[in-house]
Amino acid sequence: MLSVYSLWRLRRRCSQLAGICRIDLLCDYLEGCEQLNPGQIDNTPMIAVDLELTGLDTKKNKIISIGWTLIDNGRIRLGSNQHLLVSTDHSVGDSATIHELLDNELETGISIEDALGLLFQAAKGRVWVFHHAGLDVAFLQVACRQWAELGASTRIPMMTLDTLQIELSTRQRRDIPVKPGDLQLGELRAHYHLPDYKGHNALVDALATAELMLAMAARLDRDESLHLKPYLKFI
Amino acid sequence: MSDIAHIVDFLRTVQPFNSLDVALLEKVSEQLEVAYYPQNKTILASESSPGLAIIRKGAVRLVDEEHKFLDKRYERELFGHKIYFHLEFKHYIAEAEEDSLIWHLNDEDFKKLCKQQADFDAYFNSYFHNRLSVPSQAQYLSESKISVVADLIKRKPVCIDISVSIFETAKMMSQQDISSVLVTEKELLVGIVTDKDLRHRVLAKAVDPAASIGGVMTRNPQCLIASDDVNAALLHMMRENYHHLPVVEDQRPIGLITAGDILREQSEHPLRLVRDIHKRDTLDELVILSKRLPLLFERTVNLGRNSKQVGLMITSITDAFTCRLLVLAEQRFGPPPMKYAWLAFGSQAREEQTARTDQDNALIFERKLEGDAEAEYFSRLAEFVCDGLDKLGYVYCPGEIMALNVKWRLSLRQWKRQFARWIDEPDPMSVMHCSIFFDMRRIYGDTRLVEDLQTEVVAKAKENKIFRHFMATNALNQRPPLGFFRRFVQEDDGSHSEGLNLKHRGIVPVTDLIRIRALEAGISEANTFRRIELVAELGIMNKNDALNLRDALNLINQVRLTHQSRQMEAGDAPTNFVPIEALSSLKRRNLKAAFMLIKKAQQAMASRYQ
Repeated sequence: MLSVYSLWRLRRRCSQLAGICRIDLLCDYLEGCEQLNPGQIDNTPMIAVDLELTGLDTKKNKIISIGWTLIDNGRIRLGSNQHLLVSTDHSVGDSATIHELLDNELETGISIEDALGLLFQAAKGRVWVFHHAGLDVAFLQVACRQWAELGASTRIPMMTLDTLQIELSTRQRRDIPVKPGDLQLGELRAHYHLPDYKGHNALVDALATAELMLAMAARLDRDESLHLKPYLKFI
Repeated sequence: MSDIAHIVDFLRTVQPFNSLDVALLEKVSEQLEVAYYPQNKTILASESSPGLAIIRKGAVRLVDEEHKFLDKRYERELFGHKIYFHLEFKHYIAEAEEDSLIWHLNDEDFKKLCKQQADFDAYFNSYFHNRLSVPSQAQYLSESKISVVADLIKRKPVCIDISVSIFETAKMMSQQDISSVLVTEKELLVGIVTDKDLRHRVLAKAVDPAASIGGVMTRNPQCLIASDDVNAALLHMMRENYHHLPVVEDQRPIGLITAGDILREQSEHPLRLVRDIHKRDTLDELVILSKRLPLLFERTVNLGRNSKQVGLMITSITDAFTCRLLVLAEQRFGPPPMKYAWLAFGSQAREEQTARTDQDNALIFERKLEGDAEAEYFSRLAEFVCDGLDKLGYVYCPGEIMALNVKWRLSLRQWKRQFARWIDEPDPMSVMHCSIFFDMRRIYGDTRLVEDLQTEVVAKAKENKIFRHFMATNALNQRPPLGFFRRFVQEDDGSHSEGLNLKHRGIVPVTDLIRIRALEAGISEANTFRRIELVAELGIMNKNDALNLRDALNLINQVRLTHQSRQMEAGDAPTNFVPIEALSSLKRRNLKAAFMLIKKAQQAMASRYQ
């Protein structure tokens, strides 16, 4: 739950980190984050992001692609769609079958530093939207620390919305049982009468998450625009 | 890299976006914005120039300012633009009927697109189009598959230069194991040589194998152009009984295509039947083949092909049966004593046949029959073919307009005189005849005889306005059933509806109307869809009106075909009579709009021929 105090703390962390950070793009992002004043879904700029990973372990595994799309005034701008393949020294190994990305396809990708630069540039002044934020945020934090050569205890401030968490808390509040698999992206989309997207990559899933976010917001509050504050989380 | 394939893929299934090329669709997809509207939420008001909205998922209700229901739109349909409701332009408010995912194209980008793309723009300016926009997925799929001949070419054709010897050619053909080879001169196609040619023109005639291949090849062979439509190409090959044809681009050979190539690509193709028909030698065998027709009809309709394509397919089968019967008749009764041609009238001539059809045909001779032997020959030939057609399911014409009737076995001069009488001294009976006889097409035999007759008849009809006036009066006798519909649409319960004769109330009026327009233009083409295109091109009819009428006809036909296909599936005999209850409310509204357009076109015709 958001309080004036936690917002103040986030802002202070932003300005402190901006003071020591040596990467301009990240400093810009931090300034944007500091000025962020999220209100209703219609007036809060957002960025829906999805990562494809080589595995679940932040120590061993890597980000292999990043997809995102921007939401402004409660609408997804398809022109802002972005799908970046990240080149990595590690072989894709087994996860290639899952993501259908092959090694030689990854070779055409860009470096993780460039990818993060583009991502944080796009994310400036925006609330992040993920489906199951925990994993993606953890990977972004690790990658950013390496990128900006920050200490292990440093966190890059982010204001996030997690479609999985929002659904879970809504169901728990209403005492609706949750079965395993119920909260998967595809399942939830079907629940909200959203189209079934064939083929998954980071961008398709980011777009799918963005649509789900809009659908959830519309359901959560049918009369007026949804206040985001109760659902926001600060990293 | 922005990955928008599935957005473009969806756009390609939405009319009129399907008319745009992929590069442009990609650009459009980047201009789109996605929004989600829960049930009952207001999406937009048309008055405020909200741009164009595409329903990606869900359903949207359009209401007027007093919140009265105007229309409902579904996935893949559009709103936001100017919409005519029952031919009347109205502002409206769009609300989510269900939870809906909507793609918005802002007004500026929408207008820019309209400015750039004339066809796209025409879609929104035709009040009919923006009402009748229910493309089926199936249609999209069948169209997106292979559509032009060039797509079928798998490898470069084997070519030889015209200077090469016969021996070298044969050696090369046997080495490469091919049955035909293209002959070029300075890389341009000049001929073709097949196994058969080597047998007939070389071996059988003891030609010196050292001679150049140029002397025995078939010069200037029939060929297909790379951009030819696959269905048209197949139809052409079937009709003329070609096994393979070279494909050229700028006169350079780029491939060789067999009918089998096309059929394999479309394995369930109705035209496979056409090929089989040409291989059968007895009427009984043909009757067995004709049993496949109902199933093929259903399949063709269910493929979601448009009604023009369905008409062409079904008619090509009738044509094939007719030709085959004539070949068999000539085999049985010996070669004909003179040049003649077999003519089809009515729907077969227009290539607009459906499941239920009777025969309208006649014979034309190069000169008057002399002596009993000649009369006897053609009488037996006509009897053989007409009886055969009847057995194959094309029942005798109730009006006896058949070659079986001695009245319709005439020489070219007699036919000309007959038409001249009808045109110069029109009376109700002759006008009725004309509406049948003016749709005329050669099915078999001498082409020139028919062309000669057609040219003269069309020219005569074009000159004679009084005659066309009679035709117009006759055409206006059949009125679209709007009164019936209005009552129906208002009551909307359908419990006591009598059904609707789509043929007499919808299709015949359009066909009649367009025939007169075609006569004004002096067009001898019989197919209504092509007539519409031609009269629009020649400026006889306003282009938008023509397109609207075409769509109206297509829609009514589509409803009729679907209905007939369902009847046949249920084991009933197909009829032209559609019970209103069988139609969804969307179909009903579309039909009503179609009938309104026909009425409008009739009014225009009435004032023209007052």
